[in-house]
Amino acid sequence: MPSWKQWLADPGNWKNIAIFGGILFILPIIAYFTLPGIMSTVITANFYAMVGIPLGLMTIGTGRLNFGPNLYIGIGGYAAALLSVHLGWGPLFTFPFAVIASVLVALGFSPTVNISKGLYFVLLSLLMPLIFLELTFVYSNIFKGDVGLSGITQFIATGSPKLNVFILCYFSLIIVLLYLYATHKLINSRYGIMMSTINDDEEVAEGIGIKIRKVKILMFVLSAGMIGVSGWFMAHYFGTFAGISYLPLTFMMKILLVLILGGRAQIHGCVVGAYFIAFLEMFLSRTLGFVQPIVFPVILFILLLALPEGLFGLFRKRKYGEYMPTLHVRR
Amino acid sequence: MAELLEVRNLSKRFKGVRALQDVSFHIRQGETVGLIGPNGAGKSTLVNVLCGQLQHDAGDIMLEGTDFSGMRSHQRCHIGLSRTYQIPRPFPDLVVLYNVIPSVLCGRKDSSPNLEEATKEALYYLEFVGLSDKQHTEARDLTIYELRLLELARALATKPRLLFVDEVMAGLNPGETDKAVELMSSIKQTFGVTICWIEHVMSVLMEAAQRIIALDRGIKIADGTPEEVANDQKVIEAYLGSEWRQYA
Ligand SMILES: Nc1ncnc2c1ncn2[C@@H]1O[C@H](COP(=O)(O)OP(=O)(O)O)[C@@H](O)[C@H]1O
Ligand SMILES: [Mg+2]
Repeated sequence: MPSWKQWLADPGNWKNIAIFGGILFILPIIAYFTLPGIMSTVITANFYAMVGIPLGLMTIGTGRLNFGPNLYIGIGGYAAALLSVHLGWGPLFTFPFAVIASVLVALGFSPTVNISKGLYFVLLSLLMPLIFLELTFVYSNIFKGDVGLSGITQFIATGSPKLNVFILCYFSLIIVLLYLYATHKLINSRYGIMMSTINDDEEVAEGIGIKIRKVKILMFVLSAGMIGVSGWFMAHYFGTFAGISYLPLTFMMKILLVLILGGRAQIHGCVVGAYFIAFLEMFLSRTLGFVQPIVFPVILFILLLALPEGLFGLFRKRKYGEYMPTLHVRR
Repeated sequence: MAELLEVRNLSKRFKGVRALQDVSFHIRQGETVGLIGPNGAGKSTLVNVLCGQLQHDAGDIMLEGTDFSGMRSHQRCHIGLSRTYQIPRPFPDLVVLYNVIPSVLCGRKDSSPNLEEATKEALYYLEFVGLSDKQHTEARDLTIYELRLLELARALATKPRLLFVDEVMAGLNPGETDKAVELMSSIKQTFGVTICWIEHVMSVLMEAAQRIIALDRGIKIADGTPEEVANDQKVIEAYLGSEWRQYA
């Protein structure tokens, strides 16, 4: 009989799936009957997770921390928004194009994972969303600048806004759980092992026959496509989409914190990090009001220092035979 | 014996340093060739250039007559070149078993075992070098001797035809040195792999190698049987003033 510490450390254990899956499923119901306002926080948390999980995959699969994953939120979101506004398409039809647009942009940017690393990669990736943000202002006839595009077909219209949000809680949760499942499978497959070697030492990995360039580009493009879906989701969720909400540095920092606080790019930790950040943010803005912008980063700063292994790492004891690639954040 | 590796006029320079100058030699199928030279002679650079970690400036490198200078290091691994690192470079965050599995999975182009088969095979190599009881230890926690063993297991798991061993002895205590020499000879017997064995000191190679090549400051100064090389005037001069006398 394994002790609770052991199975709690194994994200694939059925008890964890039952417990954490259960909590995530019950949360919207509780919110619906007690504090309906929390439902939108749940959606925000799921949105963060929708970006965080693929970013974790991208980080591990390329051995590099992308500082501009929000570029693909913008690409996916604008692709969906433009098609919906101009052609009147619903979410079902815009979906493939949002994914394709993100994948194509990622493909164009993907050589950077082979030709740059360290600070250069950080700077290159950091610049991309900022450049795109500029473009949304320069071509504001298309992107409508900081007002953003409105009139996007929404997912559902039941007539009751409360019910709409309730349903979307589950819809976003399903996307998150699908992401988690697929990424978990991938990381535990032969590709996962290749990724973890790339993450540890690229040059050695190539020397033992791993086609590191192929693996890195594949993982980069795949995760970018997954992040693009989150933009598509937000566009059809709000019915409006403005790059200024997702492309600036402040938003990007939040996503990186989801990743790092959750557990050093560990994909299951991203969900923990996403819910933690979304709820902390909501709680502080309701209780603290205008000092929130200062208190929020201070709390995060302290947590980053106090929890080098992230929130998930608190529980995760090393288990024999386990390998679970994480980002190298050394103190 | 047919020639497996053919190196002609190989040159490599780093800013101001000529690490390799017009080096030519060959290695025959099935041979164990020793490569010696004082510190900084260019031995590791030679391995880096041949295995694709570095690009050479000039010269031809051929495996069984095919020029492989345009190949990236994973392709060179696929045609049968493998190496260990002088300063061990394990995948530090992965457990020992998972350090070897990737070699089995990706080392050869023609075989793609599934994860279960690959695990079994990786365990075989770990048992062979004597690391199977450490299979669940993270590589970062290994001793230098165990890291050397892991380097060998990882290189062997790619099923090389030509294995470059970059200094197994350095930093080991006498007991470990003996075990390492034994392991090298059983590698030869079991896998029949052609070996290019680099050592800083010559004594261990006197018995193990059929032929010894000596490098000094990037230039090949000797190439012959161990006896010939040990008595070569240039070799003795190259080592003069270094630790040569105490080991020879
Ligand atoms: N990556 C590098 N950059 C610059 N110089 C290097 C590099 N690698 C080796 N060298 C230089 O090349 C020479 C040969 O080094 P090396 O091949 O490591 O010698 P050995 O392995 O025989 O001790 C040395 O002078 C060393 O300083
Ligand atoms: Mg060396």
